[in-house]
Amino acid sequence: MIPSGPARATTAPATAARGHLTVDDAYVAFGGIVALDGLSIDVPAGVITGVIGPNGSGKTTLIDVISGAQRPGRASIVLDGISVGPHGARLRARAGIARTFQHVRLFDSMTVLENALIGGTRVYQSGLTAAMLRLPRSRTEEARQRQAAVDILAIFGDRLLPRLDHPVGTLSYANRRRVEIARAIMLEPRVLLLDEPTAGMNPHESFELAEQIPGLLQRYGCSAVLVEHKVDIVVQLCKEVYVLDHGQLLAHGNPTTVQQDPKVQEAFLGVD
Amino acid sequence: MSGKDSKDNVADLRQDHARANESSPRRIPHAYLRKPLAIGAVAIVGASLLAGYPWLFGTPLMLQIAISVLIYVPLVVGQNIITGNSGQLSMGHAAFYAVGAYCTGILVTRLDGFPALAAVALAIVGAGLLGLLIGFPALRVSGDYLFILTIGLNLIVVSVATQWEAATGGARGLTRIPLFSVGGYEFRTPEDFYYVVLIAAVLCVGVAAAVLSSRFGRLLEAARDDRAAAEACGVSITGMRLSAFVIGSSMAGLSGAMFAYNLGFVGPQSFTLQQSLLIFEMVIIGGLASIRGSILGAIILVALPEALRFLQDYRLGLGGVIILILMVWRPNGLLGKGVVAPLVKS
Amino acid sequence: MSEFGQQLLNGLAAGSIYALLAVGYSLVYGLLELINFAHGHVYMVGTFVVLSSMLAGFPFAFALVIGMGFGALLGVLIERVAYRPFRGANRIIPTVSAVAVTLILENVAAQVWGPATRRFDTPLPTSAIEILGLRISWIQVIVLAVTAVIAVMLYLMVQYTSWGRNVRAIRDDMQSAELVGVPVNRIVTSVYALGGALGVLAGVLFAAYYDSVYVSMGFYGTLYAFTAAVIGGIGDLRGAFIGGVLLGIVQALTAGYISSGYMDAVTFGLLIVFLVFRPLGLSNSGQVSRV
Repeated sequence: MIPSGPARATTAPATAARGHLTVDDAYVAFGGIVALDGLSIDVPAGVITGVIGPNGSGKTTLIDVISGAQRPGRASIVLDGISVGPHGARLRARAGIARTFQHVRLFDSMTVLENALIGGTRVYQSGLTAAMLRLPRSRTEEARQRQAAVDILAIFGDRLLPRLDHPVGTLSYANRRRVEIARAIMLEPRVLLLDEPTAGMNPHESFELAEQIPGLLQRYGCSAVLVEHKVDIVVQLCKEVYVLDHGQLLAHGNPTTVQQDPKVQEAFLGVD
Repeated sequence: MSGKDSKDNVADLRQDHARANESSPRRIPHAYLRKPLAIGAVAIVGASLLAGYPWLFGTPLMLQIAISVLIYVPLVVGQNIITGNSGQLSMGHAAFYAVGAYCTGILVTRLDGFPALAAVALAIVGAGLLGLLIGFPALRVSGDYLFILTIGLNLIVVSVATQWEAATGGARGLTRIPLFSVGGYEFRTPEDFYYVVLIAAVLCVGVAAAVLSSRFGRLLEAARDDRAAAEACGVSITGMRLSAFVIGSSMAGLSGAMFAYNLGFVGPQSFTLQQSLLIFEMVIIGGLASIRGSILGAIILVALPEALRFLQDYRLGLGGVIILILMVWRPNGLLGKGVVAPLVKS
Repeated sequence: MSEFGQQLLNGLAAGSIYALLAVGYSLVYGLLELINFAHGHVYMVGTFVVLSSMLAGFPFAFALVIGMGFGALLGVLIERVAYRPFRGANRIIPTVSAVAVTLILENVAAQVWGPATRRFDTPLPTSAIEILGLRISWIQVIVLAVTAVIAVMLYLMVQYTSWGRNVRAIRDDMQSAELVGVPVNRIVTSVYALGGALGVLAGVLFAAYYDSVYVSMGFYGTLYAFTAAVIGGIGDLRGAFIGGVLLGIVQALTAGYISSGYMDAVTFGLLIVFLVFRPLGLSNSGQVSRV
């Protein structure tokens, strides 16, 4: 049984930590190339865990395997005690795995608000038929969803609030990223997978986003897997970091220790 | 689309939104429900024109044009839901049209006194079933291939309709379809029948508007815009695509029933690939993912050739030229919305 | 048994024509992953041009060359106008453009040559010979021979010439090919020209075989070519031949043992079955375009 999230009141206080995610022995190969080689990670509930590594080390593949976008050769994935491995991307989203993509993926024909609202799919209680018939229960829920979306978008200050009705195609790259994150939060997820969220942002924007992420997560008490290239952000946000190289685990621990590990320094030689 | 007035204070913005939400909890940021007063006025004028049409433009020709347009409306709206809102390149829409027409025709010619409304309902269901059936293989097949697959379906339906004489009357078709009647009242004259197709078209448009502006419509378009992102949000791509086919084909079934009652005759010649192409053209020209566009497309491609009689022979080719021009200048069609990204000139 | 054999033979001959058509089609698809929806219309218009040339007094061979040249030019023109400008864009656009082109061509053809079926008299021999209880007409022999020759020629061209190497490079990865210096636009143009010319050749054989040419053979041409290509594995030239021949045989058997009216239903039923259950074709070597 896949647990789906209960609908929450829009002004929910920080809730109990959840999102304990375990990935065990993940193996993915494309053609002759091994992207993940028996990788295992453990993401504690309510905590931001970092994943770093040079290009091609398998970070995005790992995210894809967790979210269900990529079928692994083998992997065991357990979220809060439930095995989600056999299920596809859609059901994993329903189970509470939310994600952003390396290259922002928004619904370009829609506005900021509409994009965010799509994220509400997981939490909606009334059915689609009720929505089409405009039954009262559905209408109140729609209103609540809109308010929730606005509240989440408000976390980004006045970056997005003046632009709720703008088509997302007209936004700056940084704003598009923020919309994508807001949409993921709308799922009231257990675990949020962030694939290089600050890519394409300048240092000021990156710093700003880094400040906002913990607040976003506390809203629903979820955990996060943060794939990042920018070391200072990883140090700031993550208690624990996994370092990947060629699909294998190179090192793991708190960011400062890991940084000082000679194996890690060698792997990153010449890179950031 | 215009944005809100920029305010520095985040809290103010949130309050604005909350207030707006309270007063009109159904507020939907779609263009066509924007200015209530203007919409209201247009609606009243439009409704009067539609209701009084037979008196205002009573000539047999004008009436036939109107009836023809109104029969096409559900066809085009349905096709647009499949291709515009759901992004599935489906071409054989005449197949669903045919199923609707033949369902009606067979029922009322075989079973004496079969009630018209029931025949229409069964036509809708029959066409919807075919839509569901084709929806499944459609899931497994990519854009261009789906195009050809649906053309194949169209040709299969025509082939079967032409060959299966026992059921469909073969190439000669089904004749002597009785008049449309409800509760004993027969709609004899074109003026009478005009109101029948008008009501059918209005109901269809109403349903389409309700469906597309609801949460379902949003999810449908999300599945179209970015499949991976939609799945990551828990949207069922399968469910959305199948639903689009069922809804679109059911509407075609409605048109089929109207067609049968209008002509009193159903034959395979009316459901060829040419017909599918015409419906497709109406969607492309009128505008993708737009109900108003669908209506406009139907009007343009039915009424205009009538008005420009001397161009009748070139109707097909001119349509082609218009479409080519549109592909460069306005690939979404005249009233279409954001389905296809504006062209990047290489 | 000889009845069956006869049907088989008829199917083989008709199928060879489809094979020729399918090859031109597959060439383009394999290269650009683009369904050249206007392919059949080029074949139709070109065949009519041959007809008109003959009626204007040109000897058959001459008329054939004129027609094939016309087909080549038309193919190139269509590529420039309806496909190239939209090369990077969303799939809907070139598909719709192709449809638009077919509408224009169909309209023009109907206006110039009329909607009715016309006869197609050629100096090709119409008599038949008897071998092993099977009746083979000279036209069938010619069709089979021409197709075989073209098949071998194409294979040699694609495998052993520098042109063929370029085509294969583009098929593997267009961007890399470009970087390596392959003149992509010129090769693409040549493929469309070749496809168009072969298409007209197929059309002329078809018209001679059935002694008829008509406007709607355009759409059917495209659809049969596509079906044949899918059956054999789209993008695979050998597959296109096999698919074409098989299609011809299936159609002949349907016409012989069920009814010619159901040919369409069977043909496109086959198409749907293959598209859904075996999209890579019989040889499992076709290219599948992304869903």
